[in-house]
Amino acid sequence: MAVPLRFRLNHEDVEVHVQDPASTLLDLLRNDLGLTGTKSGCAIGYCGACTVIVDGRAVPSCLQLVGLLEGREVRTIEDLSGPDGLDPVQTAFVTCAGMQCGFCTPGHVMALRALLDQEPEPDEERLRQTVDGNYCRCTGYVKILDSAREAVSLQKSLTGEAR
Amino acid sequence: MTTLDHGPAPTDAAREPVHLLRAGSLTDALAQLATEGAVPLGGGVGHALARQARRPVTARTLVAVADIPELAGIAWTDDRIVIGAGVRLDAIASDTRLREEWPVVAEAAGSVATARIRRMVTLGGNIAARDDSHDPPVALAAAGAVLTVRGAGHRRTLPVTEVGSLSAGELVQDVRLPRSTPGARIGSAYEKFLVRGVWEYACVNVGAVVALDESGTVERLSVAVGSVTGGPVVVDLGALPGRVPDADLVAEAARLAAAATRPYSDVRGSAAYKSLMIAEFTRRAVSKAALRAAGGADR
Ligand SMILES: Cc1cc2nc3c(=O)[nH]c(=O)nc-3n(C[C@H](O)[C@H](O)[C@H](O)COP(=O)(O)OP(=O)(O)OC[C@H]3O[C@@H](n4cnc5c(N)ncnc54)[C@H](O)[C@@H]3O)c2cc1C
Ligand code: FES
Ligand code: FES
Repeated sequence: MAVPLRFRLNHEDVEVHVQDPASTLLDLLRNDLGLTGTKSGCAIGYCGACTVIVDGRAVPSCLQLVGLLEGREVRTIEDLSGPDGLDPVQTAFVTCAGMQCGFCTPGHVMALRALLDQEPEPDEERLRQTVDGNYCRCTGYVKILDSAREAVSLQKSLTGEAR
Repeated sequence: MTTLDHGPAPTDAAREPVHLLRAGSLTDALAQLATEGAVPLGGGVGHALARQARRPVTARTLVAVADIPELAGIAWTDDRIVIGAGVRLDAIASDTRLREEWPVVAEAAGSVATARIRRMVTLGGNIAARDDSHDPPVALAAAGAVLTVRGAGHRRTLPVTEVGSLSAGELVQDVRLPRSTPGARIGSAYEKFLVRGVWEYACVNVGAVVALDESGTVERLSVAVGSVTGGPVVVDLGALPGRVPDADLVAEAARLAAAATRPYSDVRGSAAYKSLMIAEFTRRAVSKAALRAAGGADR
């Protein structure tokens, strides 16, 4: 028997009917809602590729049971945009070539987006903590951290303008 | 012991859907838990892991308890600190007062997985999972923490090491830590040994608490060890209190900790290797706790 579930997804109220409230947000996004920007790497919380923002905080969607989402606010990579189309965090990854295959990128972008929403001027240590828990098998993290620093300065230069 | 990789699973394995109830209050939760096959649900991380490993589901009904008011927040009174079972590990790790008064607990909570996961895991769920390698229970055992357990029509308390005696229909409401008297010379520390040096489950994990009297003599010394059979194990340190916290005392505590515990061989090391590591990491934890008790730099 399907149970109704209401939450906000990318700034819209949604109601979905789930067969199993103990299934994960990752499966709901990718399989039922067709939002495949969120990647499935390990499904056990290790790789961070599936990271989304729930109530302003970056969490792995593969560990988030859908039944616990009632009334909450979810943002996925599909939600991001900015003055030139891309969110400043995304622009920073493009500028600094912070990706190769791109599989880990949505996770990094969402985690950094959540960080910058809460702390517009994070120090190096906070950037490193934010990248931690999101495996990248291509870049070696140097360019990901470059992108993170670039995102901070881009965001700063945009402050004051409407995003 | 924790095994995350259960190998390839049948993709067509049928899964029985479960019911998920959201409790609005403690009374609601206890009534819901009184039904056949109902279990509490904290952050849901342990439950999600069990599903991914396709372990058979025995619970028919999950009762979401993390957000009920009676399980929320950290409360301070003159003689104790009450941490709600629904509090997430990241809130414990970043609580400034807790870091000051019980660094062993804040450090253990902050050593779990990564920030993204600590935002989801509840203290109650971490303890009730009864996994001997989990970090917070080791620290809480060293600190002498007590659980408040609620069931339909009853309330009881349990030392954190006896969480195994929770029965169906019961839940952990909060965890209570004693407060030290102002000016008391008490220090604590947590040591987690990671074989690969990055975030992981511990190879061995040790919590230590040292209290000194006016003259600098050890008044109380407590060590708990995790990732061992029946863990966390609170080590009987016999006649060590009453001595000064010098290298001999620390070495003796380390020897007793290794002798009193039975680690198991797994991917993180052989049992014999882990016994050596238990001695080493007990030495580090007790030294750091003693330094903090004495008001040393690293408090
Ligand atoms: C990638 C990864 C790495 C990890 N690394 C570590 C680590 O280094 N150290 C560590 O300690 N842990 C680690 N964990 C494990 C995590 O801490 C546990 O899975 C924890 O039990 C999850 O807590 P939860 O609140 O989400 O649990 P849930 O899944 O909600 O609950 C877990 C168990 O506790 C019961 N329960 C929940 N709340 C209560 C309550 N209030 N009263 C009674 N019973 C209750 C549930 O019925 C269930 O049996 C890791 C997990 C992942 C995914
Ligand atoms: S898919 Fe969620 S952390 Fe790897
Ligand atoms: S760019 Fe390929 S995994 Fe990070």
